[in-house]
Amino acid sequence: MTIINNKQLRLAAYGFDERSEEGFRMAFKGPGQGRALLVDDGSAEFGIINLDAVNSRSLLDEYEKRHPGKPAIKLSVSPSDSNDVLHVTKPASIDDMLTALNNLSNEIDGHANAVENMPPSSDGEKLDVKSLPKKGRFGKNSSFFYNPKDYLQGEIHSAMEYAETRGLAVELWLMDDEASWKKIIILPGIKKVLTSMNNKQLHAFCCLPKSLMNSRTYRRNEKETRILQDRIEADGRGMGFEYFLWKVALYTSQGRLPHGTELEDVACLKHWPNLTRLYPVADSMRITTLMVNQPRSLPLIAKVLKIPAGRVFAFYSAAYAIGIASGNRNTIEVDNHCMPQRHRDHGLFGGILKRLRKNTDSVADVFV
Amino acid sequence: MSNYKIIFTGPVGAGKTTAISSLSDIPVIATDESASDMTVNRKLTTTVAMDYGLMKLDAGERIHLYGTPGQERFNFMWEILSKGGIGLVLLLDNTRADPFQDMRFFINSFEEFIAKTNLAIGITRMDLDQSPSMAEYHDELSVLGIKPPIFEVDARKRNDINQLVEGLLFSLDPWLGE
Repeated sequence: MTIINNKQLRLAAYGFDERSEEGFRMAFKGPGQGRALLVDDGSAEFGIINLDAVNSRSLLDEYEKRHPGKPAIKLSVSPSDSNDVLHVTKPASIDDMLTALNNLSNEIDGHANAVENMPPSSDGEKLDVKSLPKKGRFGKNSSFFYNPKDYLQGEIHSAMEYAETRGLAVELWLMDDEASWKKIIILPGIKKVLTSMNNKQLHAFCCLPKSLMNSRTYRRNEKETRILQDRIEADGRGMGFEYFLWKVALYTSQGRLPHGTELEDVACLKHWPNLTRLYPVADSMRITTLMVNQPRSLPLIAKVLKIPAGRVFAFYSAAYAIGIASGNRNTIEVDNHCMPQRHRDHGLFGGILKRLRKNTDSVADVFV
Repeated sequence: MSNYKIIFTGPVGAGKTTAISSLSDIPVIATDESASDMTVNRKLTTTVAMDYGLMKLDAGERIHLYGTPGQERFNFMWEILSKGGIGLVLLLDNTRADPFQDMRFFINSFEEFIAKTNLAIGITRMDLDQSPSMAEYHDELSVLGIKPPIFEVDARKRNDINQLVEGLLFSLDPWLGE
Protein backbone atom coordinates (compact mmCIF):
# COMPACT_ATOMS: atom_id res chain seq x y z
CA MET A 1 0.00 0.00 0.00
CA THR A 2 1.47 3.35 -0.97
CA ILE A 3 0.22 6.86 -0.67
CA ILE A 4 -0.75 8.24 -4.06
CA ASN A 5 -1.17 11.95 -3.51
CA ASN A 6 1.74 14.35 -3.04
CA LYS A 7 0.38 16.80 -0.49
CA GLN A 8 1.54 16.24 3.08
CA LEU A 9 -1.44 16.09 5.42
CA ARG A 10 -1.16 17.68 8.85
CA LEU A 11 -3.37 15.74 11.22
CA ALA A 12 -4.17 16.07 14.91
CA ALA A 13 -5.38 13.09 16.95
CA TYR A 14 -8.43 13.56 19.18
CA GLY A 15 -9.39 11.14 21.99
CA PHE A 16 -6.33 8.87 21.74
CA ASP A 17 -3.72 8.03 24.37
CA GLU A 18 0.00 8.78 23.87
CA ARG A 19 0.78 5.23 22.77
CA SER A 20 -1.76 5.36 19.96
CA GLU A 21 -0.46 8.77 18.89
CA GLU A 22 3.08 7.37 18.79
CA GLY A 23 1.75 4.51 16.65
CA PHE A 24 0.29 7.01 14.18
CA ARG A 25 3.57 8.90 14.06
CA MET A 26 5.51 5.74 13.28
CA ALA A 27 3.01 4.64 10.64
CA PHE A 28 3.06 8.05 8.92
CA LYS A 29 6.83 8.31 8.95
CA GLY A 30 7.62 4.74 7.95
CA PRO A 31 5.11 3.02 5.67
CA GLY A 32 3.37 6.35 5.05
CA GLN A 33 6.62 7.77 3.62
CA GLY A 34 6.10 11.08 5.39
CA ARG A 35 2.90 11.81 3.53
CA ALA A 36 1.11 12.66 6.76
CA LEU A 37 2.34 14.36 9.89
CA LEU A 38 0.85 14.21 13.35
CA VAL A 39 0.81 17.75 14.72
CA ASP A 40 -0.84 19.63 17.55
CA ASP A 41 -4.37 20.89 17.34
CA GLY A 42 -3.31 24.48 16.59
CA SER A 43 -1.50 23.67 13.37
CA ALA A 44 -3.59 20.73 12.11
CA GLU A 45 -5.54 20.81 8.90
CA PHE A 46 -7.50 17.64 9.57
CA GLY A 47 -8.21 15.25 12.41
CA ILE A 48 -8.24 11.62 13.42
CA ILE A 49 -11.04 11.07 15.91
CA ASN A 50 -11.49 8.16 18.30
CA LEU A 51 -15.22 7.39 18.23
CA ASP A 52 -14.78 5.05 21.19
CA ALA A 53 -13.51 7.82 23.45
CA VAL A 54 -15.77 8.64 26.39
CA ASN A 55 -16.21 12.19 25.13
CA SER A 56 -16.36 11.29 21.41
CA ARG A 57 -19.58 13.29 20.88
CA SER A 58 -18.05 16.50 22.18
CA LEU A 59 -14.83 15.77 20.25
CA LEU A 60 -16.84 15.55 17.02
CA ASP A 61 -18.79 18.73 17.83
CA GLU A 62 -15.60 20.61 18.71
CA TYR A 63 -13.90 19.40 15.50
CA GLU A 64 -16.84 20.51 13.38
CA LYS A 65 -16.77 23.89 15.08
CA ARG A 66 -13.04 24.40 14.52
CA HIS A 67 -12.80 22.87 11.07
CA PRO A 68 -16.24 23.44 9.55
CA GLY A 69 -16.94 21.13 6.63
CA LYS A 70 -13.51 19.48 6.80
CA PRO A 71 -13.41 15.68 6.67
CA ALA A 72 -11.78 13.61 9.42
CA ILE A 73 -10.61 10.02 9.75
CA LYS A 74 -12.68 8.21 12.36
CA LEU A 75 -11.72 5.06 14.23
CA SER A 76 -14.04 2.77 16.19
CA VAL A 77 -14.41 -0.87 17.20
CA SER A 78 -17.79 -1.06 15.45
CA PRO A 79 -17.77 -1.03 11.65
CA SER A 80 -19.23 2.01 9.91
CA ASP A 81 -22.96 1.81 9.07
CA SER A 82 -22.63 4.14 6.11
CA ASN A 83 -19.62 2.70 4.25
CA ASP A 84 -17.70 5.84 5.21
CA VAL A 85 -14.37 5.62 3.33
CA LEU A 86 -12.72 7.64 6.08
CA HIS A 87 -13.79 5.18 8.76
CA VAL A 88 -11.27 2.64 10.04
CA THR A 89 -12.42 -0.33 12.09
CA LYS A 90 -10.25 -1.24 15.07
CA PRO A 91 -7.85 -2.89 15.45
CA ALA A 92 -6.54 -0.61 12.74
CA SER A 93 -3.85 -2.07 10.48
CA ILE A 94 -1.25 0.13 8.83
CA ASP A 95 -2.80 -0.62 5.44
CA ASP A 96 -6.23 0.44 6.69
CA MET A 97 -4.77 3.72 7.97
CA LEU A 98 -2.94 4.40 4.72
CA THR A 99 -6.08 3.64 2.72
CA ALA A 100 -7.97 6.12 4.87
CA LEU A 101 -5.22 8.71 4.29
CA ASN A 102 -5.47 8.18 0.54
CA ASN A 103 -9.24 8.56 0.72
CA LEU A 104 -8.79 11.75 2.73
CA SER A 105 -6.35 13.10 0.11
CA ASN A 106 -8.84 12.29 -2.64
CA GLU A 107 -11.67 14.01 -0.79
CA ILE A 108 -9.54 17.12 -0.30
CA ASP A 109 -8.57 17.17 -3.98
CA GLY A 110 -12.21 16.75 -4.98
CA HIS A 111 -13.21 19.59 -2.66
CA ALA A 112 -10.41 21.84 -3.92
CA ASN A 113 -11.39 21.20 -7.54
CA ALA A 114 -15.02 21.95 -6.76
CA VAL A 115 -14.05 25.26 -5.13
CA GLU A 116 -11.72 26.10 -8.02
CA ASN A 117 -14.45 25.42 -10.55
CA MET A 118 -17.12 27.30 -8.66
CA PRO A 119 -18.45 30.22 -10.69
CA PRO A 120 -17.43 33.49 -9.08
CA SER A 121 -20.12 35.38 -7.21
CA SER A 122 -21.52 38.57 -8.67
CA ASP A 123 -18.55 40.64 -7.57
CA GLY A 124 -16.17 38.02 -8.86
CA GLU A 125 -15.12 36.95 -5.37
CA LYS A 126 -14.52 33.43 -4.13
CA LEU A 127 -13.23 34.45 -0.72
CA ASP A 128 -15.74 35.20 1.99
CA VAL A 129 -13.85 38.01 3.65
CA LYS A 130 -16.46 38.37 6.38
CA SER A 131 -15.84 34.81 7.50
CA LEU A 132 -12.22 35.60 8.35
CA PRO A 133 -11.36 36.38 11.94
CA LYS A 134 -10.82 40.10 12.30
CA LYS A 135 -7.82 40.13 14.59
CA GLY A 136 -4.87 37.82 14.86
CA ARG A 137 -4.51 38.17 18.58
CA PHE A 138 -7.97 36.68 19.14
CA GLY A 139 -7.30 33.68 17.01
CA LYS A 140 -4.29 31.99 18.52
CA ASN A 141 -5.58 28.57 17.56
CA SER A 142 -7.20 29.74 14.38
CA SER A 143 -5.92 28.08 11.23
CA PHE A 144 -5.35 31.58 9.77
CA PHE A 145 -2.49 32.38 12.14
CA TYR A 146 0.73 30.88 13.38
CA ASN A 147 3.43 32.00 15.74
CA PRO A 148 6.84 31.87 13.99
CA LYS A 149 8.45 31.37 17.41
CA ASP A 150 6.70 27.99 17.68
CA TYR A 151 8.51 26.77 14.57
CA LEU A 152 11.98 26.48 13.10
CA GLN A 153 11.44 29.95 11.59
CA GLY A 154 11.69 31.51 15.07
CA GLU A 155 14.87 29.54 15.83
CA ILE A 156 16.49 30.67 12.59
CA HIS A 157 15.51 34.27 13.16
CA SER A 158 16.97 34.24 16.69
CA ALA A 159 20.13 32.51 15.47
CA MET A 160 20.60 35.14 12.74
CA GLU A 161 20.15 37.94 15.26
CA TYR A 162 22.66 36.35 17.63
CA ALA A 163 25.16 35.71 14.82
CA GLU A 164 24.91 39.29 13.57
CA THR A 165 25.13 40.86 17.02
CA ARG A 166 28.09 38.78 18.21
CA GLY A 167 29.78 38.23 14.87
CA LEU A 168 29.85 34.50 15.58
CA ALA A 169 28.57 31.56 13.53
CA VAL A 170 25.61 29.58 14.83
CA GLU A 171 24.78 26.00 13.89
CA LEU A 172 21.31 24.51 14.26
CA TRP A 173 21.22 20.73 14.27
CA LEU A 174 17.91 18.98 13.59
CA MET A 175 17.32 15.25 13.89
CA ASP A 176 15.46 13.70 10.99
CA ASP A 177 13.30 10.55 10.79
CA GLU A 178 16.35 8.35 10.35
CA ALA A 179 18.00 9.73 13.48
CA SER A 180 20.67 11.59 11.55
CA TRP A 181 21.43 15.24 12.15
CA LYS A 182 20.71 17.87 9.52
CA LYS A 183 22.57 21.15 9.89
CA ILE A 184 21.85 24.80 9.24
CA ILE A 185 24.96 26.96 9.53
CA ILE A 186 24.45 30.69 9.90
CA LEU A 187 27.42 32.90 9.11
CA PRO A 188 27.49 36.59 10.03
CA GLY A 189 29.62 39.06 8.08
CA ILE A 190 29.18 37.35 4.72
CA LYS A 191 25.51 36.86 5.72
CA LYS A 192 25.30 33.37 4.31
CA VAL A 193 23.38 30.27 5.34
CA LEU A 194 24.52 26.79 4.51
CA THR A 195 22.35 23.73 5.01
CA SER A 196 22.71 20.02 4.45
CA MET A 197 18.95 19.77 3.81
CA ASN A 198 17.24 19.73 0.44
CA ASN A 199 14.07 21.77 -0.07
CA LYS A 200 11.76 18.87 0.76
CA GLN A 201 13.51 18.19 4.05
CA LEU A 202 13.58 21.87 4.96
CA HIS A 203 9.88 22.16 4.12
CA ALA A 204 9.07 19.22 6.40
CA PHE A 205 11.05 20.71 9.31
CA CYS A 206 9.42 24.11 8.80
CA CYS A 207 5.94 22.56 9.15
CA LEU A 208 6.83 20.74 12.34
CA PRO A 209 6.01 22.52 15.62
CA LYS A 210 9.17 23.15 17.62
CA SER A 211 7.81 21.09 20.49
CA LEU A 212 8.01 17.99 18.29
CA MET A 213 11.50 18.76 17.03
CA ASN A 214 14.72 17.30 18.30
CA SER A 215 17.18 20.15 17.85
CA ARG A 216 20.48 21.48 19.17
CA THR A 217 22.11 24.88 18.87
CA TYR A 218 25.87 25.34 18.77
CA ARG A 219 27.55 28.72 18.90
CA ARG A 220 30.98 28.83 17.31
CA ASN A 221 33.92 30.88 18.61
CA GLU A 222 35.78 33.50 16.59
CA LYS A 223 38.38 31.12 15.21
CA GLU A 224 35.82 28.51 14.15
CA THR A 225 33.66 31.24 12.61
CA ARG A 226 36.59 32.54 10.58
CA ILE A 227 37.48 29.06 9.30
CA LEU A 228 33.86 28.37 8.32
CA GLN A 229 33.50 31.73 6.57
CA ASP A 230 36.75 31.36 4.65
CA ARG A 231 35.76 27.89 3.49
CA ILE A 232 32.30 28.95 2.35
CA GLU A 233 33.52 32.12 0.67
CA ALA A 234 36.10 30.09 -1.23
CA ASP A 235 33.48 27.53 -2.30
CA GLY A 236 30.99 30.21 -3.32
CA ARG A 237 28.32 28.16 -1.58
CA GLY A 238 25.49 29.27 0.65
CA MET A 239 22.31 31.30 0.46
CA GLY A 240 21.79 34.90 1.52
CA PHE A 241 20.00 35.54 4.83
CA GLU A 242 17.08 37.20 3.06
CA TYR A 243 16.60 34.38 0.56
CA PHE A 244 16.70 31.73 3.29
CA LEU A 245 14.41 33.54 5.73
CA TRP A 246 11.89 34.30 2.96
CA LYS A 247 11.79 30.64 1.94
CA VAL A 248 11.53 29.37 5.51
CA ALA A 249 8.66 31.80 6.20
CA LEU A 250 6.82 30.63 3.07
CA TYR A 251 7.23 26.99 4.07
CA THR A 252 6.13 27.68 7.63
CA SER A 253 3.23 29.96 6.75
CA GLN A 254 1.42 27.52 4.46
CA GLY A 255 -1.09 30.24 3.73
CA ARG A 256 -1.30 31.47 7.34
CA LEU A 257 -0.32 34.83 8.82
CA PRO A 258 2.17 35.55 11.58
CA HIS A 259 0.50 35.75 14.97
CA GLY A 260 -0.43 39.34 15.83
CA THR A 261 -1.31 40.40 12.28
CA GLU A 262 -4.43 42.52 12.27
CA LEU A 263 -6.56 41.60 9.28
CA GLU A 264 -8.25 45.00 9.24
CA ASP A 265 -4.96 46.89 9.01
CA VAL A 266 -3.68 48.20 5.72
CA ALA A 267 -0.83 45.98 4.58
CA CYS A 268 2.11 47.99 3.24
CA LEU A 269 5.46 47.14 1.69
CA LYS A 270 8.40 49.45 2.33
CA HIS A 271 9.63 48.68 -1.17
CA TRP A 272 9.63 45.98 -3.84
CA PRO A 273 11.18 42.70 -2.70
CA ASN A 274 14.22 41.58 -4.68
CA LEU A 275 12.07 39.06 -6.54
CA THR A 276 14.77 37.83 -8.91
CA ARG A 277 16.73 36.55 -5.92
CA LEU A 278 13.90 35.22 -3.74
CA TYR A 279 12.03 31.93 -3.75
CA PRO A 280 9.16 32.43 -6.22
CA VAL A 281 5.55 32.91 -5.12
CA ALA A 282 2.68 32.93 -7.59
CA ASP A 283 1.19 36.41 -8.18
CA SER A 284 4.01 38.08 -6.21
CA MET A 285 4.30 40.93 -8.76
CA ARG A 286 0.57 41.70 -8.60
CA ILE A 287 0.46 41.53 -4.80
CA THR A 288 3.55 43.75 -4.58
CA THR A 289 2.13 46.35 -6.96
CA LEU A 290 -0.99 46.73 -4.83
CA MET A 291 0.85 46.75 -1.52
CA VAL A 292 3.34 49.35 -2.74
CA ASN A 293 1.06 51.62 -4.76
CA GLN A 294 -2.48 51.12 -3.47
CA PRO A 295 -2.31 49.54 0.00
CA ARG A 296 -5.33 47.67 1.29
CA SER A 297 -6.10 45.09 3.94
CA LEU A 298 -4.84 41.60 3.13
CA PRO A 299 -8.28 40.03 2.59
CA LEU A 300 -9.15 42.90 0.27
CA ILE A 301 -5.97 42.38 -1.76
CA ALA A 302 -7.00 38.76 -2.29
CA LYS A 303 -10.50 39.87 -3.23
CA VAL A 304 -9.38 42.58 -5.65
CA LEU A 305 -6.85 40.31 -7.36
CA LYS A 306 -9.26 37.34 -7.27
CA ILE A 307 -6.61 35.01 -5.87
CA PRO A 308 -6.74 32.70 -2.84
CA ALA A 309 -6.28 34.57 0.44
CA GLY A 310 -3.73 31.95 1.51
CA ARG A 311 -1.43 33.02 -1.32
CA VAL A 312 -1.54 36.66 -0.17
CA PHE A 313 -1.04 35.59 3.44
CA ALA A 314 1.99 33.45 2.54
CA PHE A 315 3.51 36.34 0.59
CA TYR A 316 2.88 38.73 3.48
CA SER A 317 4.42 36.28 5.97
CA ALA A 318 7.58 36.03 3.89
CA ALA A 319 7.81 39.80 3.36
CA TYR A 320 7.18 40.34 7.08
CA ALA A 321 9.94 37.87 7.95
CA ILE A 322 12.52 39.86 5.96
CA GLY A 323 11.32 43.10 7.49
CA ILE A 324 9.70 44.87 4.54
CA ALA A 325 5.99 44.34 5.31
CA SER A 326 3.89 45.82 8.05
CA GLY A 327 0.29 46.44 8.93
CA ASN A 328 -0.65 50.03 9.47
CA ARG A 329 -3.77 51.17 11.26
CA ASN A 330 -3.23 54.83 10.32
CA THR A 331 -2.68 54.40 6.60
CA ILE A 332 -5.75 55.28 4.64
CA GLU A 333 -7.01 52.27 2.81
CA VAL A 334 -7.76 52.70 -0.84
CA ASP A 335 -11.49 52.70 -1.22
CA ASN A 336 -12.94 49.28 -1.92
CA HIS A 337 -14.63 50.68 -4.99
CA CYS A 338 -11.45 52.38 -6.19
CA MET A 339 -10.13 49.47 -8.19
CA PRO A 340 -6.75 49.66 -9.90
CA GLN A 341 -7.30 50.77 -13.45
CA ARG A 342 -6.55 48.62 -16.44
CA HIS A 343 -3.91 50.31 -18.57
CA ARG A 344 -5.10 51.48 -21.98
CA ASP A 345 -2.60 49.04 -23.45
CA HIS A 346 -3.75 46.16 -21.22
CA GLY A 347 -4.12 43.78 -24.16
CA LEU A 348 -0.69 44.59 -25.51
CA PHE A 349 0.93 44.20 -22.07
CA GLY A 350 -0.82 40.83 -21.72
CA GLY A 351 0.77 39.81 -25.02
CA ILE A 352 4.23 40.88 -23.83
CA LEU A 353 3.72 39.01 -20.56
CA LYS A 354 2.70 35.85 -22.43
CA ARG A 355 5.78 36.15 -24.61
CA LEU A 356 8.07 36.65 -21.58
CA ARG A 357 6.58 33.70 -19.72
CA LYS A 358 7.06 31.34 -22.64
CA ASN A 359 10.67 31.14 -21.60
CA THR A 360 10.42 31.66 -17.86
CA ASP A 361 10.41 28.92 -15.25
CA SER A 362 6.91 28.32 -13.93
CA VAL A 363 6.11 29.23 -10.35
CA ALA A 364 4.81 26.41 -8.20
CA ASP A 365 2.04 27.46 -5.85
CA VAL A 366 2.70 25.10 -3.00
CA PHE A 367 1.86 27.35 -0.12
CA VAL A 368 -1.91 27.43 -0.12
CA MET B 1 0.13 48.30 -36.93
CA SER B 2 1.19 50.30 -33.87
CA ASN B 3 4.78 50.49 -32.85
CA TYR B 4 5.64 50.14 -29.21
CA LYS B 5 9.01 50.53 -27.56
CA ILE B 6 10.69 49.51 -24.36
CA ILE B 7 13.72 51.68 -23.67
CA PHE B 8 16.83 50.31 -21.97
CA THR B 9 19.19 52.84 -20.49
CA GLY B 10 22.09 53.02 -18.07
CA PRO B 11 25.79 53.74 -17.94
CA VAL B 12 28.46 52.13 -20.11
CA GLY B 13 28.92 48.43 -19.40
CA ALA B 14 25.72 47.97 -17.38
CA GLY B 15 24.50 45.23 -19.72
CA LYS B 16 21.93 46.99 -21.92
CA THR B 17 23.01 45.26 -25.15
CA THR B 18 23.11 41.87 -23.41
CA ALA B 19 19.68 42.40 -21.83
CA ILE B 20 18.14 43.31 -25.19
CA SER B 21 19.77 40.23 -26.72
CA SER B 22 18.16 38.00 -24.12
CA LEU B 23 14.68 39.29 -25.05
CA SER B 24 14.98 39.86 -28.78
CA ASP B 25 13.61 37.49 -31.42
CA ILE B 26 16.10 38.84 -33.93
CA PRO B 27 19.86 39.22 -33.65
CA VAL B 28 20.47 42.54 -31.95
CA ILE B 29 21.58 45.32 -34.19
CA ALA B 30 24.32 47.00 -32.21
CA THR B 31 26.11 50.10 -33.31
CA ASP B 32 29.25 49.47 -31.33
CA GLU B 33 32.52 51.23 -31.96
CA SER B 34 35.91 50.76 -30.44
CA ALA B 35 36.00 52.88 -27.36
CA SER B 36 38.49 55.68 -27.66
CA ASP B 37 37.86 57.63 -24.50
CA MET B 38 37.64 56.77 -20.78
CA THR B 39 35.06 54.12 -21.69
CA VAL B 40 37.92 51.88 -22.74
CA ASN B 41 38.60 51.26 -19.07
CA ARG B 42 35.30 49.41 -18.78
CA LYS B 43 34.84 47.68 -22.15
CA LEU B 44 36.57 47.51 -25.49
CA THR B 45 33.59 48.60 -27.58
CA THR B 46 30.69 50.87 -26.74
CA THR B 47 27.30 51.66 -28.25
CA VAL B 48 27.53 54.97 -30.08
CA ALA B 49 24.06 55.27 -31.60
CA MET B 50 21.72 52.66 -30.20
CA ASP B 51 21.00 48.97 -29.86
CA TYR B 52 17.92 47.53 -31.47
CA GLY B 53 16.05 44.30 -30.81
CA LEU B 54 12.53 43.10 -31.53
CA MET B 55 9.98 41.02 -29.66
CA LYS B 56 7.32 39.39 -31.82
CA LEU B 57 4.04 38.76 -30.05
CA ASP B 58 1.46 36.08 -30.92
CA ALA B 59 -1.08 38.63 -32.09
CA GLY B 60 1.40 39.96 -34.64
CA GLU B 61 2.30 43.00 -32.56
CA ARG B 62 5.94 43.99 -32.42
CA ILE B 63 7.73 45.48 -29.46
CA HIS B 64 10.85 47.40 -30.37
CA LEU B 65 13.63 47.22 -27.83
CA TYR B 66 15.94 50.21 -27.89
CA GLY B 67 19.13 50.58 -25.93
CA THR B 68 20.41 54.09 -25.46
CA PRO B 69 24.11 54.80 -25.76
CA GLY B 70 25.60 54.87 -22.31
CA GLN B 71 27.73 57.95 -22.71
CA GLU B 72 26.52 61.37 -21.79
CA ARG B 73 27.80 62.86 -25.05
CA PHE B 74 25.13 60.89 -26.91
CA ASN B 75 22.20 61.92 -24.76
CA PHE B 76 20.56 63.92 -27.54
CA MET B 77 19.56 60.47 -28.85
CA TRP B 78 17.62 59.63 -25.72
CA GLU B 79 14.79 62.02 -26.32
CA ILE B 80 14.32 60.75 -29.85
CA LEU B 81 14.42 57.12 -28.74
CA SER B 82 12.00 57.47 -25.87
CA LYS B 83 9.15 58.85 -27.97
CA GLY B 84 6.33 56.27 -27.99
CA GLY B 85 8.00 54.17 -25.33
CA ILE B 86 5.85 52.19 -22.89
CA GLY B 87 8.41 52.17 -20.10
CA LEU B 88 12.01 52.54 -19.08
CA VAL B 89 14.37 49.81 -17.91
CA LEU B 90 17.38 51.32 -16.14
CA LEU B 91 20.39 49.04 -15.70
CA LEU B 92 23.06 50.06 -13.20
CA ASP B 93 26.50 48.53 -12.85
CA ASN B 94 27.27 47.97 -9.17
CA THR B 95 31.02 47.89 -9.76
CA ARG B 96 31.13 51.49 -10.98
CA ALA B 97 32.61 54.20 -8.79
CA ASP B 98 29.31 55.80 -7.82
CA PRO B 99 26.22 53.84 -8.90
CA PHE B 100 23.95 56.24 -6.97
CA GLN B 101 25.20 59.15 -9.03
CA ASP B 102 24.45 57.11 -12.17
CA MET B 103 20.97 56.33 -10.87
CA ARG B 104 20.18 59.95 -10.09
CA PHE B 105 21.57 61.07 -13.43
CA PHE B 106 19.45 58.70 -15.51
CA ILE B 107 16.29 59.16 -13.45
CA ASN B 108 16.61 62.93 -13.77
CA SER B 109 17.39 62.73 -17.48
CA PHE B 110 14.28 60.63 -18.16
CA GLU B 111 12.12 62.37 -15.54
CA GLU B 112 9.35 63.37 -17.95
CA PHE B 113 9.29 60.00 -19.66
CA ILE B 114 9.14 58.16 -16.32
CA ALA B 115 6.30 60.40 -15.14
CA LYS B 116 4.30 59.49 -18.25
CA THR B 117 5.14 55.78 -18.20
CA ASN B 118 7.05 53.88 -15.53
CA LEU B 119 10.47 52.65 -14.48
CA ALA B 120 12.08 49.35 -13.49
CA ILE B 121 15.67 49.18 -12.25
CA GLY B 122 18.05 46.26 -12.59
CA ILE B 123 21.32 46.19 -10.66
CA THR B 124 24.01 44.22 -12.47
CA ARG B 125 27.35 42.80 -11.30
CA MET B 126 26.30 42.53 -7.66
CA ASP B 127 28.10 39.20 -7.62
CA LEU B 128 31.34 41.13 -8.12
CA ASP B 129 30.62 43.93 -5.70
CA GLN B 130 27.95 43.73 -2.99
CA SER B 131 28.22 47.40 -2.16
CA PRO B 132 26.01 49.39 -2.34
CA SER B 133 23.44 46.88 -1.12
CA MET B 134 19.85 46.63 -2.26
CA ALA B 135 18.78 48.21 1.04
CA GLU B 136 20.97 51.22 0.27
CA TYR B 137 19.42 51.55 -3.19
CA HIS B 138 15.98 51.58 -1.58
CA ASP B 139 17.10 54.31 0.82
CA GLU B 140 18.44 56.35 -2.07
CA LEU B 141 15.22 55.90 -4.06
CA SER B 142 13.13 56.97 -1.08
CA VAL B 143 15.04 60.27 -1.11
CA LEU B 144 13.92 60.66 -4.72
CA GLY B 145 10.36 59.85 -3.61
CA ILE B 146 9.81 56.85 -5.88
CA LYS B 147 9.29 53.12 -5.28
CA PRO B 148 9.93 51.40 -8.62
CA PRO B 149 10.54 47.67 -9.02
CA ILE B 150 14.28 47.20 -8.42
CA PHE B 151 15.90 43.79 -8.72
CA GLU B 152 19.37 42.33 -8.72
CA VAL B 153 19.89 40.97 -12.24
CA ASP B 154 22.41 39.22 -14.40
CA ALA B 155 21.89 40.66 -17.88
CA ARG B 156 22.96 37.31 -19.36
CA LYS B 157 20.12 35.47 -17.64
CA ARG B 158 16.88 35.62 -19.55
CA ASN B 159 14.81 34.87 -16.43
CA ASP B 160 16.24 37.91 -14.66
CA ILE B 161 15.55 40.28 -17.55
CA ASN B 162 12.09 38.76 -18.09
CA GLN B 163 11.23 39.40 -14.45
CA LEU B 164 12.54 42.93 -14.63
CA VAL B 165 10.33 43.70 -17.63
CA GLU B 166 7.43 41.93 -15.88
CA GLY B 167 7.97 44.24 -12.90
CA LEU B 168 7.71 47.21 -15.24
CA LEU B 169 4.48 45.88 -16.80
CA PHE B 170 2.82 44.95 -13.49
CA SER B 171 3.64 48.33 -12.00
CA LEU B 172 1.79 49.85 -14.96
CA ASP B 173 -1.14 47.42 -14.78
CA PRO B 174 -1.71 45.05 -11.83
CA TRP B 175 -4.58 43.40 -13.72
CA LEU B 176 -2.16 41.57 -15.96
CA GLY B 177 -2.03 37.81 -15.61
CA GLU B 178 -5.58 37.56 -14.21
